[in-house]
Formats: sequence, structure tokens, C-alpha cells
Amino acid sequence: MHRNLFFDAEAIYVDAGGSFIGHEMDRGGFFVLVGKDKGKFFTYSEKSIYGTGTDAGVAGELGSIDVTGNPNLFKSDYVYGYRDKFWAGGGEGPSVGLSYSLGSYNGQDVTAIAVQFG
Amino acid sequence: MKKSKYLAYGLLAVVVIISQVSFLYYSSNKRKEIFNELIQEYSPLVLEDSLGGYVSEINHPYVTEINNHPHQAFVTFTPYKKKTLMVGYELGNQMTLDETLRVGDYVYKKQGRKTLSVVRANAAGDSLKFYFEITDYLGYPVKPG
Repeated sequence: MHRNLFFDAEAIYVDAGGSFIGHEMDRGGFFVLVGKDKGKFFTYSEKSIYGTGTDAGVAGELGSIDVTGNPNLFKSDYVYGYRDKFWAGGGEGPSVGLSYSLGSYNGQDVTAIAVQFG
Repeated sequence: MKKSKYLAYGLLAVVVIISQVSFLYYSSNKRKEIFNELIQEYSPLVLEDSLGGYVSEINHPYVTEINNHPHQAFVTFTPYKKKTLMVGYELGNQMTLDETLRVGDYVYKKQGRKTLSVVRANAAGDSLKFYFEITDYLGYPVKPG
């Protein structure tokens, strides 16, 4: 039994931005599903420079954020800061892709998994 | 022509994916090593510990690799002692340790107790007190062993 519809994710997020053959700049927001910030929406911006993509243009991302550790202590702070992001996508015309990013907080990991479209 | 273009894209994608996965693996291992080193240097405050000292330094040595955890702190105390503090929200105002702990605060915990107290006194002699429950490194409440 999951705590929420998103397989116990701590937050969900959506963003949009530009991509250009492996480079990506996004602006978006995330909605917190657990903890002190539950029900709140926060904005963020992101720059990724090591992706795998065969196209350029406008792209969006829809994903979930998971944290190892006690979900009740989850806070919006967890989503900000440095993280390693792996993403791959391609196609001519409309394209799809996947992204995975990992941030670290002293023994706890913050993982974001998303589908990309553009 | 089209076939060779797809082949080139494919080869490029394979090379980049392999390098990205390798980098993620390397980066993840590096962070684990850093965390293990920090835990060796700043032993975690556990239920069996007693503590009483003034915060002389709140250390955050690897800002690029490891983000600042709102519920944890690597602290050097006077008298000299190094400890990793891992706690839940402040019991009164639901603040985080990061929002609360400052250099100069007096921190104490009795042996066998879950509660960590942070006392801040000003020049006039007034004091503020904050209470936290200690947790394990994943943020779960500690249980007697």
C-alpha cells in the first residue's frame, strides 16, 4: 500500500526549458507530498550540461522525487543544491527521453526520475 | 546517407551514455567515501552518549559534493569534541537544526536520553532553548539497543 498515487514519492515536479544537443536549461516547480512542506509548491531553475540528446528545441519534464530516509523530515531544501543528472532523449520532430538525477545529503540520497518530451 | 547519420547518432549516444553512467557511478562512490570519512572524524551522537559543550565550529567541508542537510550538522565543541548531530524537527517550533544551531550555543544531552538541548544566551543573560530528538542517519527516531 502506497502513501500516495506517486509510489511514495516525496514530491513531484514539472519543468520546461530549452535543450540543445546535450545541454539543457529549465525552469519549473515541484509540489511536496509529505512532511512539513506538504501541499506547497516551490519553483526552481536547473542547468544540465552533460546530457545525451540528438535534438534541439523546447522540452518539458515530468517526474518524481524520492529521498532515502524518513519521509516525515522531507523539506523543500532537499530539492535544491548540487546534483548529478543523467538524461537521454532523441527523435526527429517530437522527441521523448528519460532523466535521472542524484543529489546527496550526508548519507541520504535524493533521486529524481522523469520523462522528457519536446 | 540517412542510415549513416543514424549510425553516427547512435554511436555518439552510446559513448555519452557510457561516460555518464561511469561518471554517476564514480560520483556516487566518491560521496559515500566522503560521508564515511566525515562519520569517522565526527562520530554520530547516539543514545548512549552524553554531551555538554559550546559550539565552536559548524563544519561543512564538501559543499560541491554533499548538500547541506537541514537536519544534520558536523560540529566541533569546546571542550574539544567532534560530533555529527542528527535530529528531527525542533520539538517546539518545528524548526530545523540548520535554522537553529549557531556558533556559541551550548549543547547538551544526558546519557540514555533522546533529547538534545540547545541553549543560546545573550549578553543580558536571557536564554533561548531549543529541544530536538536525535535520529539515526536516515532520520528515523533512535531506539534503545
